[in-house]
Amino acid sequence: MSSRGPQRAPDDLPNPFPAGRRGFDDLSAGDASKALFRSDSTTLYTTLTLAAASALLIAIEANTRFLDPVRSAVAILADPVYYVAETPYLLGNFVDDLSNSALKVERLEHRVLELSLVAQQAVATRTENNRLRELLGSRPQVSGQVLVTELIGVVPDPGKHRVRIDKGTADGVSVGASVVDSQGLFGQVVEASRASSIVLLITDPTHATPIEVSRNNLRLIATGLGRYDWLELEAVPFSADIRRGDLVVSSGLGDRFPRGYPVGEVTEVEKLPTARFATVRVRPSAALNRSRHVLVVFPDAAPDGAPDGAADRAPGGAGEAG
Amino acid sequence: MNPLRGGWLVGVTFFAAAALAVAHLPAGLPDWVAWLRPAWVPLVLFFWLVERPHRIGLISVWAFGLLLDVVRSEPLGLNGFALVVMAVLGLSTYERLRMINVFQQAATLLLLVLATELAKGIVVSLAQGAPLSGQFVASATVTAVLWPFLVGPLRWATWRAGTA
Repeated sequence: MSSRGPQRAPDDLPNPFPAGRRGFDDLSAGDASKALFRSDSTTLYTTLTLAAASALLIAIEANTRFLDPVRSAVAILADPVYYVAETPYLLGNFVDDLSNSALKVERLEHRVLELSLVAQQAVATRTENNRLRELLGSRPQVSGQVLVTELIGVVPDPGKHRVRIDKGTADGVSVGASVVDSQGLFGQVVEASRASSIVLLITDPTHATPIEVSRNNLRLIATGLGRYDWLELEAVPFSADIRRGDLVVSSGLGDRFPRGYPVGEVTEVEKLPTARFATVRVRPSAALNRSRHVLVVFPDAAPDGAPDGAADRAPGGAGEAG
Repeated sequence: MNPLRGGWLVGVTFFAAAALAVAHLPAGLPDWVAWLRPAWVPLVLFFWLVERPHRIGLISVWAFGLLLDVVRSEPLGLNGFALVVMAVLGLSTYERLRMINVFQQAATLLLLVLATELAKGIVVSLAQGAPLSGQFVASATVTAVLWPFLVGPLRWATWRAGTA
């Protein structure tokens, strides 16, 4: 079967190893001393050097962040791979936009009207809230600046919940920025190169989100389990006042995520007498495996009304970081 | 790689393999489908090792591994190491790989992918403390099953491109 196809005979090919290598003829001549894996010294040294280089890189990266610039530089070459992989979806979206644009525009206009109504109320509420906070002597809350980005790829390992977005350091995205979608907290930026960044989702097994229950401000930690439809709350005492249907929002502790973004809804509270803690499961609010457009919220958000080009950076308008 | 002698095809297949390795699945498929994603890059590398071994240089393979590390968000150097190990094994046995039939080649590919992926998993668990997962077994099996179907078209493309 393997003898089918053009140019099969080994004789057609130039000898890839001209010096010091024995070919197929030696084997057929019954050379019993032929080793299973032959290697001349150049191949051996190259292999050892490359293996050592790999080991060095892995060791450096496991312990320091020195290689981040290297990674960003290689990412410039890696972005085209993502764009090519995404082409079918981009084309599909394009065709979809063309065929449904009239309907979509109408629907979006209605939505804009609805949301501007909400926004008017929100302005009044925020002003009132800040006045009340002043009375209490606490710092006024700030609005975050946001940047609309589009997903250009998903890291293929099913055990990792990471996605690549199409904005990078050139657009002001930096490591540690929070990412939200239209419905809730999405994740945080963990790698930023010039034109793209990688976002770690809140459901990644290595991710933990400081949260609070919005009903009673009970503070807890939500960890990812590597499943898009589940988070689990850690170390919940049996006496904790938490029940099915509670809304869970980011608590802002840990200085990573802004306070008050919806994280999810409690779907299950299980208090096994044999367990030390209650098992509490939360369904994430954000459409983690469906959203194509997400917002990056800048961590160093300027206070309300600060004149620093918010309009340039935030085509989607200002988000509420509080 | 000399583009004038059809070498561009080698580059194109590796690039396509990298793109297929990250192409995301259509929404609506169950999660476990992601575990069946074939190891496209080792498959393409194995093809060139069998068909045109002199086109495969260890340093280029390692450099391509760096690109793959960034694309797959894995530690730098990891894929380079795995691909170089595979290339060295392939280069030292390519005469035999050409003589065996396509199913035996598939079995060899299965072993190579299993070995390199296991090595990768061990390195990652040592470096990052992540638990070793067995997902590569499914992916390696799918890769080996695909080999008999892909070797024909790839060989045809090689012949059309005149890759020597």
